[in-house]
Amino acid sequence: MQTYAQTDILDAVRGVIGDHRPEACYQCMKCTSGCPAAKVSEYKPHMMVILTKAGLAEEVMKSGIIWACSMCLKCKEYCPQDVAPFDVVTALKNVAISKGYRPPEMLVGMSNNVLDYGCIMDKPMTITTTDFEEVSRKSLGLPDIVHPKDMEQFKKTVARFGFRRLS
Amino acid sequence: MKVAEEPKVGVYVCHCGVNIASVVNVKAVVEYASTLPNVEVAKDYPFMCSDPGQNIVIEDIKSKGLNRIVVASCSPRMHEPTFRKALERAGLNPYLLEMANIREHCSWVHEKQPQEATEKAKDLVAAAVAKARMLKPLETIKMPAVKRALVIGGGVAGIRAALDIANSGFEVYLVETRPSIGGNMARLDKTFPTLDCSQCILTPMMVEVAQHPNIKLLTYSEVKSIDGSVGNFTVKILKKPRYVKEDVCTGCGVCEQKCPYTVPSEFNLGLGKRKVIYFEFPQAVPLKPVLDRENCVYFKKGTCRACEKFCPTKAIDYTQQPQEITVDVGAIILATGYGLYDVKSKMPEYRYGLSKNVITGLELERLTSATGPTKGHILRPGDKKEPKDVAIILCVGSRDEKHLDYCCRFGCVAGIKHAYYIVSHIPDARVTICYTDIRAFGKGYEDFYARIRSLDNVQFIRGRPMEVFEDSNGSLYFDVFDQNTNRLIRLNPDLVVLETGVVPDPSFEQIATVLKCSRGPDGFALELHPKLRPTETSVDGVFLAGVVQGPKDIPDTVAQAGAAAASAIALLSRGEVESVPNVASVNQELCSGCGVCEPICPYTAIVLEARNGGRVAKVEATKCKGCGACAAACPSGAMTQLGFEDKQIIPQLEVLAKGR
Ligand SMILES: Cc1cc2nc3c(=O)[nH]c(=O)nc-3n(C[C@H](O)[C@H](O)[C@H](O)COP(=O)(O)OP(=O)(O)OC[C@H]3O[C@@H](n4cnc5c(N)ncnc54)[C@H](O)[C@@H]3O)c2cc1C
Ligand code: SF4
Ligand code: SF4
Ligand code: SF4
Ligand code: SF4
Repeated sequence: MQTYAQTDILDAVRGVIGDHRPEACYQCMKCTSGCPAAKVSEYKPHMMVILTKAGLAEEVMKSGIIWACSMCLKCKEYCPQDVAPFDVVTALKNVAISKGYRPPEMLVGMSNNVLDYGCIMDKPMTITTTDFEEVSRKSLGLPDIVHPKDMEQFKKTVARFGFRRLS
Repeated sequence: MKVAEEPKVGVYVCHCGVNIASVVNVKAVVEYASTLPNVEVAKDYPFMCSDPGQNIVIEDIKSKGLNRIVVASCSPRMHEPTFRKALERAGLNPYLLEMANIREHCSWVHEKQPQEATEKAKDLVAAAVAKARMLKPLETIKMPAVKRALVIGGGVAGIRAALDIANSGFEVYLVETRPSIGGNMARLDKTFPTLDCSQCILTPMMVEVAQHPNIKLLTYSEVKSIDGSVGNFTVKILKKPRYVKEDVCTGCGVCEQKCPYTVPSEFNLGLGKRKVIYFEFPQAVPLKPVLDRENCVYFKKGTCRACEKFCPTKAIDYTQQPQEITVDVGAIILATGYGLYDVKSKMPEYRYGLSKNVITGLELERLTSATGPTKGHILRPGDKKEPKDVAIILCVGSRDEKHLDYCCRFGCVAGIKHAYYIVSHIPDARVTICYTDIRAFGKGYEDFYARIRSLDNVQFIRGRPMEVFEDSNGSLYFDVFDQNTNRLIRLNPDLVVLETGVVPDPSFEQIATVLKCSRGPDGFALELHPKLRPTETSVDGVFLAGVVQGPKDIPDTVAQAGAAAASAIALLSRGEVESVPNVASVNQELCSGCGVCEPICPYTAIVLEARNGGRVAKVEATKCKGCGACAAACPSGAMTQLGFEDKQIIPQLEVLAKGR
């Protein structure tokens, strides 16, 4: 039999998210109904919030959802209780890294690409829609991505924010 | 300080069960109180407000000759009247009482600091004793009350209240802004949970109003101003011109038939048209048309005059002017009801106002009603076709920190009723209700819910969609996560019904301001006590009926209207109002006539009158609310507030300032 428990993770999450308290969630599903990542992940934003509240955040951190979040911020914009599952996810990502969890390889690659090229890939040509279609930037009339002119300066600047290479 | 009659003070400290005694050391307070000047006796008791508690005070007054009483207990708002009555029963002037609030001000706020709470309680008691020593007997103010009532708003709440008052023999003015009474209930097709036809149960009451000898019905009218106070309000009402002589018109409707011009119908929420000269709805009360001047071709261009030409009784009168009516009333009932939350501009994510086939629940009522724009056939506004797949979304704008943080209280059961409308009118239709929690709490509501949820073509999804989309063909679709089945569901409804939140009628804010009647953070009228005095307001003689106080269904609305009427009847039949004499009073010998006080008084209770070639201030005690602003402002010390005179409150403040 499992029990609900208060954990240091909940405190860490609270410390990061400030006013957007997970405990206010009344499980209306509005976040999950509109979440693009929820379509591909077993853990849904509403579960993530309620599991964190119940002290079961470890389970969420182990799941893919925290890394699948596409950071569209729709949940934060529409949550009727001002909970912002996005903030919970972000907080959990930070906690996960500090506890030594490793993000999926694709994200590690992207993150390291930023340090190498100033962008998540060398030459991003496409954009992924909410229905997971790859659409070329050109067809949407979007300009090419401009890389930082001075890569050394760029690396110094991001290092100041604590952005480090994941190995 | 010299005291006229030697004060003999009794101090009574209440435990309030454990509310006070679990934090404040009551015995220590009593011990301390007995050392204070002029204190004859100090006692404690578990419940001072109970009969035995009051009897202790009464006995002591009689046997020990006490002439000042201090009760240290809860807020004076709660029990000051109780203890004043006890003093009166003991033969003492009721205003020789002072209260120290050691519950709200000590035990409740300093729960975790019992030591400090006890010290503070001692200070408050000492201050109360200091003031009590200086109290003077006062006389309760009594004034005759006008035996007539005013009801503002002619929805089911106002109708019920007006009928109850009229039936008990008092005259009532019922003022309604719309051309007909009936309010939102007149818009409903059927009423949950029993599904009676709304019009069929409402119209008999409306007709009774029109025919009642004690009811003066003023429709198409607005309250312009309200002056005075309980028992004696003076109300100015503006009756807008209908351009129809009401005494001549027989309600035949020829004008409406002949008028060649149409505009969107307000009663049908813009879903259908009405003529420029029109009846709000076929059962309107009074059954007299209104000519809408803004849109009338005669008023705009000087032509047409069709209604005048065809009216068989020559009732049309284009020269009618607004009429101002002044009435004196003793009591007022507010029943201004509600409007829907503006989801069109506030929640574009649900596409209301953007897609024609996204409608509100109230609009569905009109599309279902036999008197509605589709004559009772449910046809979707986009293409006038029968919808076959309907999605109903609950809690739209309600229970939402970004919109309205309260529950609409009828959306759930209205939504369930709307599912019934659809499947009973269109048997091959499917309905999906997206809910968050079903709140079916009223009598018979759970049965009704059970009945509808057992239907095969009504599906309940526990989840709230985030957005509604329209594709390039104009078809609606959205995703909603169903917690019950743990699945993300895609719906392709051909009609979306939003059970939207409700807000107070926009005109209520102004009425509340004029009356100085408190509103809650949600804008609804604030009742005097949420549990014990739900129909009274912060203003004496002003009562609440229906949704003006907060969302409620018809049974609750009618019950509250009856209660408000009973309160008004009690006041009118007493024929007299009493008020606490903590009013301002001028010592005309000291008054220099500077006039500083006059503009400061928020209730226009001060007049400056001529005296000995100069002028002096005078307070009209019936208008004064005892706010004390004038007494604080008067530079000559001529203005005092009875019960709060300088020589009473300064010793009290000195105690608090010095500590003990
Ligand atoms: C979609 C929907 C379906 C519903 N279905 C049901 C149901 O089936 N069963 C049920 O029990 N309840 C139902 N309700 C609730 C029901 O509508 C209310 O309980 C009821 O109408 C409240 O009556 P009221 O008199 O307080 O307010 P209202 O009906 O709003 O009446 C207020 C009146 O005051 C007038 N007024 C406003 N301001 C002024 C002013 N300044 N001066 C003069 N007059 C003014 C208005 O014109 C109106 O006539 C439903 C509500 C909705 C939205
Ligand atoms: S939208 Fe907000 S309240 Fe609703 S389930 Fe998500 S986090 Fe909870
Ligand atoms: S005069 Fe005005 S109200 Fe009368 S029929 Fe013509 S448009 Fe209609
Ligand atoms: S009554 Fe139902 S629909 Fe309305 S806010 Fe409350 S829970 Fe939501
Ligand atoms: S006490 Fe207040 S209400 Fe009374 S006369 Fe003075 S200013 Fe006016």
